[in-house]
Amino acid sequence: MLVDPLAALLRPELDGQSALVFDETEVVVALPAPLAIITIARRFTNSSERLVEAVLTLPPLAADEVCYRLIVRVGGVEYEAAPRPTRRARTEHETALSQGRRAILFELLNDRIPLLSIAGIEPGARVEVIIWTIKPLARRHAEQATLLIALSAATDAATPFGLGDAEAYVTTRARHAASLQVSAGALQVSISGQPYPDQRLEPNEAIGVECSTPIFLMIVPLDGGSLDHSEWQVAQPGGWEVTSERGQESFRHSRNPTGEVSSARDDWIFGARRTAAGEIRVTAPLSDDVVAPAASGSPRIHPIAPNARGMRAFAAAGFIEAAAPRDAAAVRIAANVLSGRTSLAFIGPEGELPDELPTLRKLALAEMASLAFPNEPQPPIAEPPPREEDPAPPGPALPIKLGPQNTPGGAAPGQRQRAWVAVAMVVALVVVGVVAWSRR
Amino acid sequence: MKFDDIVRVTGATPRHIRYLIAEGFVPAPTGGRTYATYSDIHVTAIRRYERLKRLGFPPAAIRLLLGAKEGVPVPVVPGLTVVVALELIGSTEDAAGIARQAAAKIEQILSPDGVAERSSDAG
Repeated sequence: MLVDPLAALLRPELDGQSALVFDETEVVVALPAPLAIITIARRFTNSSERLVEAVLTLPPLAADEVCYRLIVRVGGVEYEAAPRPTRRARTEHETALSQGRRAILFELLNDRIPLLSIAGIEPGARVEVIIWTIKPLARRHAEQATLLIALSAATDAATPFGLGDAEAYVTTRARHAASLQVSAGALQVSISGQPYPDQRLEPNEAIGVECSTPIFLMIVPLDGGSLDHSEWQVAQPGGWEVTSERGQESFRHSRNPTGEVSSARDDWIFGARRTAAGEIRVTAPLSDDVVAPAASGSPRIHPIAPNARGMRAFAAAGFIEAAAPRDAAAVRIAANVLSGRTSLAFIGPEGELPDELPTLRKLALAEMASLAFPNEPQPPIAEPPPREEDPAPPGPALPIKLGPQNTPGGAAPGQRQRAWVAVAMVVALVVVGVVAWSRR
Repeated sequence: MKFDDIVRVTGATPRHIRYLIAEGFVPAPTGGRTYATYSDIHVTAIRRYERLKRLGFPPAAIRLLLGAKEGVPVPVVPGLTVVVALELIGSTEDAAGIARQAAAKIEQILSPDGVAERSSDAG
């Protein structure tokens, strides 16, 4: 019997613990252009008979994408993760895990890869993970923007990111469909790149998408719509405003002294980020609740405007100034911004779970099936120079191999054959002509 | 030793150790959650995994190597790798005898006659 010494190394399958897979995925996109707020809810079930720690490595954040909120529901009970310094969060998470507490840790590896650990999931428990991110729309040109959302990973994606085995991506080839819903105001949105025909999306109407293929949205303004400016009562406490470098910023502050909206509100922060789509400036409320004077004179608490948390996170990531002096690091913590220095974490109470060490189980993303979608274009930095003349092709780097069929200056074999056919046809025509002429 | 001790001794991250235990590369601790205890067996298993990982083996290959029912390549010196298939050998009681046979075979292969014979076969 022959023994193949390489047989063990050529088997692709990992015969260990099978990964947990998602039951459902829902993607909701809001488009306060020039930004997009993406909310992804993923649901799975602990199908094992043991207490588990589920570990999910998510696709890398896009450039200038800010992750700012995580809610986990286990068996219907909701846990919202709060910001903590990264090292402290990790230590507390490990301690809580060894003490048998429920512990949730959301951290950013290599400043790009979000990794979620949910420890203490009881057998049969249904888990829902909701993650919020905000990022700039890519700009194809002034009147069109695009948005790319990846729900899958390539099987070998761990290598370029230098992830360890415990953090490496796990993928599944099982088909997993998700729902997509977009609210866009006065913008027209169409979807492309999916294994279905491209289609225009109706506002707030959910459609099915394949997780294995990235979602690619193309956005154009309708009458009254803008890709360069959005706001929600920026003059009022709790309101916000976002402006691209093509738009007109209205809120007046020291970095925008010509702004037409002056307000006595004292809860705002301002941030600006130079993104691939140009500079984006955001004014947003710092706190979750806003205290405003009521008609009777007693203060009243108002909730902040819709999408204000996302705006606050984007402003905090590029923090410049605030109504009152603020420390940038403290602003980022207050805005829940996930970063290399700040993780989002939740630690449950003691005695909540059975006396059992949780078993680590990876959660599998859909395997990236295709890259055949239109690449998100880089914004034009400047008009390309006019092409007057194509330069001559460079010479071969290696010497040309000489031979009977490859002589410098000679035609390629195919070309020579075509030339002979043409000559033969001409000769045949001449002969036919001569014969016809001689018969006259 | 406690979990913190094994983290310190091996230099592996806690999550990595939990991963190795979950995947069966390292045995689970004794004593349940409250009195979870680790020993040199765990340290050895973690180091064995790390050594194979550093050699470039992916987890799937490490699993198969550790539970090998096929030949496991064992490098001896550059140019010589012994393939050990325990299932085919059966009993390992006569390890010394097997080693003597292997040594004799290697000497024969590397002798001038053996080298010349193989050169002529190859040429």
